Amino acid sequence: MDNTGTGAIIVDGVVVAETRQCCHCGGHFQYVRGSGTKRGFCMKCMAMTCGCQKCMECLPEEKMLDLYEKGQLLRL
Amino acid sequence: MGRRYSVNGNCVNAASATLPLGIVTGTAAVRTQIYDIVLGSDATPADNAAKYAIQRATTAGTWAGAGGAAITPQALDPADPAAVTTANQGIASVGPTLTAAAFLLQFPLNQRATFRWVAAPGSELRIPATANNGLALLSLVNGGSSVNTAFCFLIEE
Repeated sequence: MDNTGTGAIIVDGVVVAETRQCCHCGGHFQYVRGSGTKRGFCMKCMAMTCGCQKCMECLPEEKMLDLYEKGQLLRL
Repeated sequence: MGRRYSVNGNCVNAASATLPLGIVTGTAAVRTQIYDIVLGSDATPADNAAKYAIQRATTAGTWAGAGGAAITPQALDPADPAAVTTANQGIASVGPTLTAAAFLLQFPLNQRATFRWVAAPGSELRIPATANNGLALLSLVNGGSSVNTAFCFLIEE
């Protein structure tokens, strides 16, 4: 762990893992360096994405929520 | 800092991808955020594996199933007004409409362990300020039968 996570997983009182937040969907995922899991990095947001297909296009979470609340986005 | 509330529930853990164990439902007035989740079992310790997920929902569902009940969020600061966010626990008789693949957090857990997830400030799980939208707690996999699950959401609105 490098203490740069955006969330912490605590089991029985001990921090066992960190989570990172996708800058597009807002979801958290466990970040394990060297795990081989493919993630993404948005050069506009300068932050990690979860790697799922719908997060490949830059739509920051804040903007996504705003559009959804205005009815201009059908689903999150 | 927004107003903070605690949502506590305890219900039978029934594995389902459509019927959640609990839900936090926001309103059009505020953008509710979950910043802390505690999950464990108060049943007799046993080695049962489970997998839980937090998934977006766009309806509140009907909570008249086994153990179904409304939960009133409790203000952490007694000076705060009652929460406009609502919550439910138990087995939903009619599940909320879950947004496909919109899992904001997934975690496996052994029944013997108590799990806690804490968000760093600014990285909370956000519910849009849209009526009936919320975040549901699902038990996707459950190795044991009828194991109680106790959960606590700390929310901010």
